[in-house]
Amino acid sequence: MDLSVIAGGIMIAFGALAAGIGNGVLFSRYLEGIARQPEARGTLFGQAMVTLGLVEALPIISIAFGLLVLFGVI
Amino acid sequence: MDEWAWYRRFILILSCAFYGASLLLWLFTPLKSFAAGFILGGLISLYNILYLARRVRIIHEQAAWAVPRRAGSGFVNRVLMVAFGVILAYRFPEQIDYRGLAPGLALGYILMVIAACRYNKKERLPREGREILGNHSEN
Repeated sequence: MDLSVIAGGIMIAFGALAAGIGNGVLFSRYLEGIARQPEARGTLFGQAMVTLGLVEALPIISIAFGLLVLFGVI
Repeated sequence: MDEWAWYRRFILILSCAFYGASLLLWLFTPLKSFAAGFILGGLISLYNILYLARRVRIIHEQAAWAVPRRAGSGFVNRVLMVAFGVILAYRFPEQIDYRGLAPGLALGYILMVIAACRYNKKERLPREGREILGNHSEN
């Protein structure tokens, strides 16, 4: 088996794993914050979105590069 | 207007500026495939961000109303959109360059961080001004 397939698989798998853990922690903290302080909903939503974007950027890019490696483009 | 509405407007305006610049690049330079990849990646990234915001709002509403069956964050949908872009770049390498697609995929997230910095700066300056004025009035 070609090593690039394994490399692409590892990139996609770890990217998705990291995104799953990060998103889970963030969503739980976000809901907890809203439950504690419902009036801060607007501020919390904006900040949660920025943090979620930061958490998701790396896995999304790693998945894109993993697919490119998998297809043998890179 | 709440914070996210401001972010969304800022991101949409800046994204449109980037797409316009990429369109000019596509029209008037030989970097057609790079510009096409960048536009495709940027559109996917914008979709991902707006979809994420919608899903977070749905989850929030469901948590507030204690709905028993919770919605997911739509991660698979976003990953499939990225895979769609990569497959398009793989299928049509002459028209869409993957070297443009990769930075395009990060565009929306980078714009979101820029929007957050800008919003914090915009919000912090009047607050500091009020504090300074408050101190003067006390003295």
